[in-house]
Amino acid sequence: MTAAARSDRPGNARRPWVLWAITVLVLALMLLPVAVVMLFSLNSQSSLIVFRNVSLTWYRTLFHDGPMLSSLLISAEIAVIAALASLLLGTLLAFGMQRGGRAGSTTANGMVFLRLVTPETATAAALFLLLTQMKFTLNFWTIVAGHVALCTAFVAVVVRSQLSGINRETEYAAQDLGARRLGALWLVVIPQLRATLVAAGLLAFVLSFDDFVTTYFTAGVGTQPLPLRIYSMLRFGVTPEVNAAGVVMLAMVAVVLTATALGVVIVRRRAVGRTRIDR
Amino acid sequence: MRSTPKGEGAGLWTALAAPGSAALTLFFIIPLLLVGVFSFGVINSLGQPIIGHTLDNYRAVFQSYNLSPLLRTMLFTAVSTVVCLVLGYPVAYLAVRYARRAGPLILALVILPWLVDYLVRIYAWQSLLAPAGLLPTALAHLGITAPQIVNTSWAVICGLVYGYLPLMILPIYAAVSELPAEVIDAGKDLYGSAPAVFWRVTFPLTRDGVLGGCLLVALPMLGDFATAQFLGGPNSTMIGNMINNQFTDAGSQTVGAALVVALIALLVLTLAVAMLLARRRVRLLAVMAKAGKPEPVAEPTEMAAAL
Amino acid sequence: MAEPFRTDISRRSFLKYSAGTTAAGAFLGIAGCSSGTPSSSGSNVLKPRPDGDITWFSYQGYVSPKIIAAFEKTYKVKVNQAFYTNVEGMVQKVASGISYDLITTNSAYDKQLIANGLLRSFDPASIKNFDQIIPYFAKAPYDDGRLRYTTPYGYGPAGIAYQKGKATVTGSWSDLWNNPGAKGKIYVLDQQDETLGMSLILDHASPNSGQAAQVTAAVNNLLKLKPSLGGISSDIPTIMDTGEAWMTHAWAGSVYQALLKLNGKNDWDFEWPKEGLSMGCDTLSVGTHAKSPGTALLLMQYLLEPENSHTNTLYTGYSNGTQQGEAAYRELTKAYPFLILPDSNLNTAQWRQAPTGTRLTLWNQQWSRFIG
Repeated sequence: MTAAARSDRPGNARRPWVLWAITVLVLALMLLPVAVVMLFSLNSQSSLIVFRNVSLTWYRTLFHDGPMLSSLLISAEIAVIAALASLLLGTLLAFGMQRGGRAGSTTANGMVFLRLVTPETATAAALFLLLTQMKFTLNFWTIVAGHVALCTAFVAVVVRSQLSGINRETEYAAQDLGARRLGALWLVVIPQLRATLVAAGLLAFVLSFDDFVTTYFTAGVGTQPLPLRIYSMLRFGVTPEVNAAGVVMLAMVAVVLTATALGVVIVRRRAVGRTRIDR
Repeated sequence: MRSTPKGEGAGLWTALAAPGSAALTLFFIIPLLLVGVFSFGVINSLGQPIIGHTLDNYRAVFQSYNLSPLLRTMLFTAVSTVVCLVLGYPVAYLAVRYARRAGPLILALVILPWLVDYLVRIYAWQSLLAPAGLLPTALAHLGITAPQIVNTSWAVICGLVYGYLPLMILPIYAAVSELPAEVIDAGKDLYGSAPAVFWRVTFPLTRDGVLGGCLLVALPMLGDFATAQFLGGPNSTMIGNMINNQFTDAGSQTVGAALVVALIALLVLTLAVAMLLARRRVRLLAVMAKAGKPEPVAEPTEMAAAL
Repeated sequence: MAEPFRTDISRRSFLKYSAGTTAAGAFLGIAGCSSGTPSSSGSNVLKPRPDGDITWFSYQGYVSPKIIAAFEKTYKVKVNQAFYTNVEGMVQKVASGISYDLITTNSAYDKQLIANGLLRSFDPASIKNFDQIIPYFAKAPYDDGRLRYTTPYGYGPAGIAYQKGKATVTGSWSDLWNNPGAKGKIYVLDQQDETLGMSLILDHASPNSGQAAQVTAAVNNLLKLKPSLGGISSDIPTIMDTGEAWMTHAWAGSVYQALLKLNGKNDWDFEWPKEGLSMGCDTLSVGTHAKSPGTALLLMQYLLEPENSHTNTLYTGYSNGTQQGEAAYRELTKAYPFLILPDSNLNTAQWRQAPTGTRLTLWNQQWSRFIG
């Protein structure tokens, strides 16, 4: 039984109040700025620092601002594709890092280390030069490629953190029963990694959605992802329309995640219901 | 700890990693090589780097004005990483072991704020902590004059912790979720007190998660520039700002390239030294064990073999 | 110095030069006269006409959305916007050959962009309302001498903004140095050319100086100022709003934006220091790789129209150097008369030039010394 399953057993009565205190503190730290962002999205004036009156004017502006909405949409599209691709590539890379032979794992580990340590601006500027020198037109796909090259490393480290602790007995058992190594992987390991994979995918999504540096250097004349628009606003003033966009995005993702979670729960309940044996 | 037992062909796993490696190679390694090449180059009238063979860029790197940002960055990073670890481990642990269904929710609450643009969240902190902001104004009503919070080094450290905490929590969450509960219970029986269980059982078993978290936090933080730019004062410049300046700010991309190469070289060197020391400690432990002395607690083998 | 790093010099650019020579003849001589003289390759003379959708590479929020909407409706084209955050970034992307149609360039870099064949020239006579541009910008010392590549879009030098009662001023740049009571509340811009240029002007040197002794001395002065600084930032509205700044090196337009947000809490004042100002102007140009250069030029023409100049200036807070633009700027600064730039300051202002070669290396080192 893993730690997660074990915690459902009754009798684990001692509540770790220190852990809860720290968790609440951290969550407050994460969510306080979001609350402020929400507050200022309702500001009646264009300041992000000084609040005046409650007003929906920025939401109205947002919903009439076609280009801003396009930027929001394109950022989301890029993020979905980049997240899925880097989740796949990063997970596979994690296997190489963890289980590859000396050469394989050293290469994979080395690349990930280098990726994390190299300042993003340098990589992005060099990638920009490379692409433009080779006469590639910068477009949607160059942005996706840049993001994938960034997020893959993060996904790989997260997945690998769990992978190294996985007991391979069940895998070997599956192989003894006739599964090939890849089959055992799919049947045994991937289900164990499920929660981590979802978390890593979510991480890749937000990393891509919020990325500015790589996006700037890989974007061409197409619809500009949201962070480009926002950072460019620095020169003439960032308005709460951006807050409204952030709140809208947050709400949309929260809805999608909640719906997915509920869907999973419902499916599970039905499955359990069908196979329930009389107690 | 490598979990490929002897005899199992590692080739499969290396092959699986190939697509990821290819993507990284194409869109990262090759640009990185380009950066290395340009670190010896010159720039044209438009500021574009051209291949050359000069050491001027490295001469510009090894100047005193790059030294204090570098040292400062190392200090900030060390402090921020430790704080992230101290705050992040409990959250990850609780999310796995005690929060039950709320665990994934906690993770989501930690990650999702990033959907709101970084700049906007920084403005939110400013509106709270700047002299005319909510907190100092509220304190002023109570008669307390708050000290300057923003535009200080403390603001930068807090900003770094705030920005990178989710990256510490996720890998630890992953590692803790694979922690066998029976082992923890056995540890409790063996050692009794919670801190002892933690240090002797839990922490060593989640070492890869901790290492992963520290890597995801500390390494990118070394190149961070946005935090110091928006929350820092004139004396909080980090090496990431110096580098970013060269690439985007009427600087010289070739000098920027040299700075990047120097930074990477420094870190690779640090890593090599750390691994060397770790291996030496392993040998020392083996010798001590043979001599009958008690073994220290944690085994550094995993750290040495991890990379 | 090594050769310019041209990515894609097309025959078009070469042909443009020959076409331009004939156009130059029309420009120099008879204003308003239509180009009756046929050029050697007539198809390359740029005329303002709708020939497709365009992408405008600029700052976000630098044009009134109403104007864009009206333009799109009138000419049945779409104006997409691409963004940059600072001028050097703009230069990098333009230099790489991306097919931007209309580009908001900058006077400090126009000469370099032109010399590298990145901008298209046009015949000012073929643009309506070119005569709306005030003489100061019609001369355009930052443009190519013979041919015309740019129209002015937004200008505003930097001065010193300060809170009355919290800082004492004498009308000099040295006021930044001479306010020990405001320690930790003084800001300078984080743009090299502005801040280093300002320190050079204080020393009575040129803001474009490439002399090591002068630049080093200027940075030494800035280093003396550093302990009193609260920060080095160009985000003027924020530092004014948050109470972080009591005194700051700032652009008039940004101060105007900030004052709007402070609505009424008006204890801010502004001065144009007597040692002199450095001048810069955002300009509009058609990119060489433009897919729809005609539409781009058409938009340039549209923005020069008196009504649009007026509206846009009221929206951005920066005059576009046309008669109505100037009138609009005077209107919006009625509440803040100190933001108006007296002609005497305008005429003595020195145009900033982007550093290249040894001057770039020198400035780079010295600026790093300041911020490091």
